[in-house]
Amino acid sequence: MPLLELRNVTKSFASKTIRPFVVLEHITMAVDKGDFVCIVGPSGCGKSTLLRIICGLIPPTDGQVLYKGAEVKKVCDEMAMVFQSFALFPWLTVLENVEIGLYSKKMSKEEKRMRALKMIEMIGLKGFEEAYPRELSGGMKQRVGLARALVSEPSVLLMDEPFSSLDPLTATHLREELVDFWLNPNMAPDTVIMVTHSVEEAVYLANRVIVLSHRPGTILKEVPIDLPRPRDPRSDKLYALVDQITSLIA
Amino acid sequence: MLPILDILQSVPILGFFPVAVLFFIAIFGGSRLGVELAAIFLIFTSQAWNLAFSTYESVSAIPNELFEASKAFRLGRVGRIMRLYLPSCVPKLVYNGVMSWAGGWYFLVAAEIVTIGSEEYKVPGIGSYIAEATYAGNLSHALLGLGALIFSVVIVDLLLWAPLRDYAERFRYEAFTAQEIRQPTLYWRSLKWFGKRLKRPQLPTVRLSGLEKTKEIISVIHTPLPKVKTPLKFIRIILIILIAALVSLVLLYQHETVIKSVNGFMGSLKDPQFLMELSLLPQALLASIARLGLAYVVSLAWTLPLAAWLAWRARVAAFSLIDVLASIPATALFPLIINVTIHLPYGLFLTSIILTMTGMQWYILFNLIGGFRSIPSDMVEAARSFGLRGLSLWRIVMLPSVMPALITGSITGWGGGWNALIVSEYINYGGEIYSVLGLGSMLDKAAYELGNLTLLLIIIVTMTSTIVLMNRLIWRRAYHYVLDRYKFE
Repeated sequence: MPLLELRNVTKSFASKTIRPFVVLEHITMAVDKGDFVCIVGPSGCGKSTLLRIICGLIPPTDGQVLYKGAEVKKVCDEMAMVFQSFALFPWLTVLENVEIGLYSKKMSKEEKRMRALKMIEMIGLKGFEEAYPRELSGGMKQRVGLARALVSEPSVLLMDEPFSSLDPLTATHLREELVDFWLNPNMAPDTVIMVTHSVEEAVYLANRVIVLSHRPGTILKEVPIDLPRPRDPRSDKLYALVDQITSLIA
Repeated sequence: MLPILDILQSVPILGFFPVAVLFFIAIFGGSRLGVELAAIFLIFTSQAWNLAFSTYESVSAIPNELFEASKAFRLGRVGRIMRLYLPSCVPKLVYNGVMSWAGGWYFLVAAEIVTIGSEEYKVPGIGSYIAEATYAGNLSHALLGLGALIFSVVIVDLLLWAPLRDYAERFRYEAFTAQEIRQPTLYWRSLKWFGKRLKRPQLPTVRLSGLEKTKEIISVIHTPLPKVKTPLKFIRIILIILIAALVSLVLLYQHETVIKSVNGFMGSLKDPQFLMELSLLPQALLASIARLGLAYVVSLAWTLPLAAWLAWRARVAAFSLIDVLASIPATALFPLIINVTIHLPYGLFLTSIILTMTGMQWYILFNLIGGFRSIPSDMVEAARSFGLRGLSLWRIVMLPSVMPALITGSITGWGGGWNALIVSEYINYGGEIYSVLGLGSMLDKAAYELGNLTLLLIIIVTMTSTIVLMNRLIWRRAYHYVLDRYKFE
């Protein structure tokens, strides 16, 4: 049984003023434990919506999302999300923001604090526990976002264009660290589903790239990426795959 | 100059009404023309301040990059005025135009009702019509009058402001609301075509968060202003000339009155009644503040949940209903409200609180709606994805997010509240006067019962300085604190 399964997921938004429009149509896919899946597609194809449906933030209009065989009906606390805009709470410190990641977990306050501190250290933000998000650079903010998502050791990490509002250099660093975390068997996350509009990024990171079509988003193709790791972001093989996928979208 | 403007802006306009009435009547020898002119003068001032301020705010809020761009493309002085200054003023001019217009109705109707008590200062109009009909127990006439008033308010809104608002949208710096779908009101939909006929302006779009907008709105009152750019000097000079002209006119033509009032002031210092009233001043001040505080808490209690609901869940129809409700000048409802509440237990107390609320609640409600709307959807989704729900969602996300909007709403709400006090503490209901202790009732009493200009001025000064002090000591600090902590990036 796959860890996560999408069966015929369709999402349409009703609208009073214009006719209802279908964002996603007949999405069927499965994600196994240990997978790193990237979803790419033209802008407006419903990538981010798909991620939110998987997490249980938005219900699908039709179809089902199954996590370990059970239907996801409300926000699933085995998954955690990283946002493009970081979505840190500006009135909470770094530590408090990371503790939000443990909000729904049943453990003592001390335990939560200890785990949050440990996570902050692992992500490389030691010394910034009491800082407020506005005092941090973009890269550091997204580290907080990542720490907040990972602190609960989720079995699936969902990432919504996590690096697209960072400068290229910072993004490169964070990408490498993400891969390290993922490869490290002692650390969350085991399984990552990431939405991105950068095909290079998808090919560099993923085991599998799922290509969505323009609205309504349907799965155009699934491309397995079996390049050996560590990968060279400039290798010809990688670029051949990038070209192949890009030609599908364009 | 700005501190002066700040103070002048804080003066409750209605407090000036009795002064203006006494002044214009002195000039026109008690004819109706004097009262009419007083009313017009009052409404004019309330609107002019507002519009002058909005221009000032708009120009100082232009993003620096736009200035640089206009310089880089060598727009020149005229080009800059046409392409940058004027377009950037449009949204606020229209927004404040709507507010001033509504404020105008409020004051107009209030003026009519206030003067109804004193036969010699009577202004006929829709407000006094409703009031008289209610006092006479003629409910159907009162409702008819109210209907006519609502009708004209809505018609003006539909034909004038709705298309203007739509037009003004185009001049906005693009707001940072990724998933926000613009709620078209009934007005907006039905009259969209009108706006389409107006020329589309050329203004580069710049991302500006919702909070920035809120910030601009009160930046003038509550933050040291950003560097002033050229046309503002112009506005200042015009304002100074205007004030100087007014003062010299008064001195030229009314020097006798001035001398008389100085003598009157000296004389009234020995008047026992004056002294007695004066000794009540601290008590009255505290009573008024307590009344406002209570009205504020009650207003908050119902506007917070309603605003959240309106911002996220409500349908267009609910919006339009609130729009219409808010556009009824509350003062027109006074006679009807009093008619119901005055006879209840604690009727007088209850009535004054309710009437004060009418001057406060809409400011708070509309600011809160804006605040709730501008919460980034990512923020709410992040909170939900980590399992925050119900009360904890409110405590950790919702309330902190709307704090800046709440403070802005509170500042304007309290401003409106002070105005409302003047008409709600001293109620002339069918020739009988009901009054509670407070600054507002003291002011009315000084004007209409005692006719004591000195006392009147002392009360206005007390009121104004209280407002300025509260703004500086409480609201300004709260605003900075909130902005520091609760600002979205």
